[in-house]
Amino acid sequence: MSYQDLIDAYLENEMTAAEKLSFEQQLGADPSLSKEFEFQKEVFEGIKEARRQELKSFLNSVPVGGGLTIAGGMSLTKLAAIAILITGIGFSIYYFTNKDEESQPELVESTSSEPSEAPTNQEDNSSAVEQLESQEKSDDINENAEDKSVTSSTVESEEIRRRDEVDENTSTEDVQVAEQKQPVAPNGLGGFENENTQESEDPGAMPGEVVSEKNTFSQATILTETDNTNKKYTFHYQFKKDKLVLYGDFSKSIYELLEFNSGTDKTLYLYYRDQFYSLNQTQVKITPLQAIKDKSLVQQLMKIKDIED
Amino acid sequence: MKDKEIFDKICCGDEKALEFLYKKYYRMMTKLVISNSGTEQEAKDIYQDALIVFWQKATSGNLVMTSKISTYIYSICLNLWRKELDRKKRLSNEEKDSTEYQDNDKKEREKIISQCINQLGETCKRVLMYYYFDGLSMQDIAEKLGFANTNTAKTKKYKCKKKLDELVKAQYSESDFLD
Repeated sequence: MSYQDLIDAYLENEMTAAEKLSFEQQLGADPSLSKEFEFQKEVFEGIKEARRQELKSFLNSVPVGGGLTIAGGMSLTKLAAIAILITGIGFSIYYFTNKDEESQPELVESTSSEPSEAPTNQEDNSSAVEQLESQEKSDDINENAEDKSVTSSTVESEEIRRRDEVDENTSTEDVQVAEQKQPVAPNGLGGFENENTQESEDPGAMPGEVVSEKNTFSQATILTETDNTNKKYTFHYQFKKDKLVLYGDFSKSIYELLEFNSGTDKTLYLYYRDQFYSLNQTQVKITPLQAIKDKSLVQQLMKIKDIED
Repeated sequence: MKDKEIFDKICCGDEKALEFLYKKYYRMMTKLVISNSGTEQEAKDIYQDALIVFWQKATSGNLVMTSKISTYIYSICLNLWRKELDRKKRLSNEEKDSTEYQDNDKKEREKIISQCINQLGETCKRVLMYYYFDGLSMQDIAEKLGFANTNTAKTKKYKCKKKLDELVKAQYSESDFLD
């Protein structure tokens, strides 16, 4: 073995313990070997250091966004994209049959009275921070309170309500959604070209079958936002003010909200990834979403959903 | 990507996988340092160093993963940060002593080596780094650099090392480090 080979083997830790010992003895006895070894060692360390620095500057060039990265390592841009997507699809599909003009104010009322109910529901809570927050916020309902969530639907509730009654929609997002929906009016409701012609019609002229369903359909009156930043709540929901907050990753698929109005009663269902979930609008606590197991109910919901699709 | 997949990629020197890993655990690992009286910059440094330690061990084939990658890196971070805290403590306790001066020659030589490495061609640089730091096999080096076979890689490594030695020796003698 040449000097060079010996030194390499030693530096690269490829010697057995016995070989090492013998090499070290050789080093002590041979000054020229020792000198060459010191030199080789420095070069060896130098190459390693150069590579270390190179890797380090490579990592430094990787954008991590510092504090902006959220738990899942999701970038802000990705989040923004999801937010836009959700705004687009978030106005899930709603039904309307009964164009009883009074149902509109009624709806608005019931949603805005939502938060005032909240505090009473707080009594049985387990004092999670989020709940306290919602309690605090319910004190100033009328101020469109600032929201920490990143993916909040951007359309104001006022606008949504107005969309139901007036056709002077200025928000392009809204117009688009509304337009998309009109052709999809449930099959059974022949003659209803869109909601606006309906409004000008006498409600008494409703087709019989619609009345028999005893459900009123309405446009989205519930604001929805998703929050995927909380590790603890991976598939949960709550009603915070009159807003539905979905916790978890809802970016994988489209979610839909089905809203049924039968007289004074209003029922909400969430449809996501082939499952229906019942949403209790008085639920201000963060609650896990539980799939509806009742087969006949699921079937019925599916039927109605399919009409809309 | 699953742990196994990432690990396999890193073992053959895939820097994209390193980048992926870096981003994936950035928050988790820096938090460890930040919540233990470190600054954001220190946290970043420690995490990067830890990841490079992990990288080197994995690429050189000296690592058998028995735990999750994150657990492993976390423990490296922890150790590095403890060391750093110790070092800082010692620095504040005692005056900087004369050892600094003795290091001056060494630093000068390190600088020379670094400059010489940069004078090498890109291929030479890569071969030497992959061989000496990453500890990649000749097979992996040949693949990464598009050599015909492992023999080419071996020859390259030999020649490049020789060239570097010569460069450094020439600089050393200019700076009177040799005799």
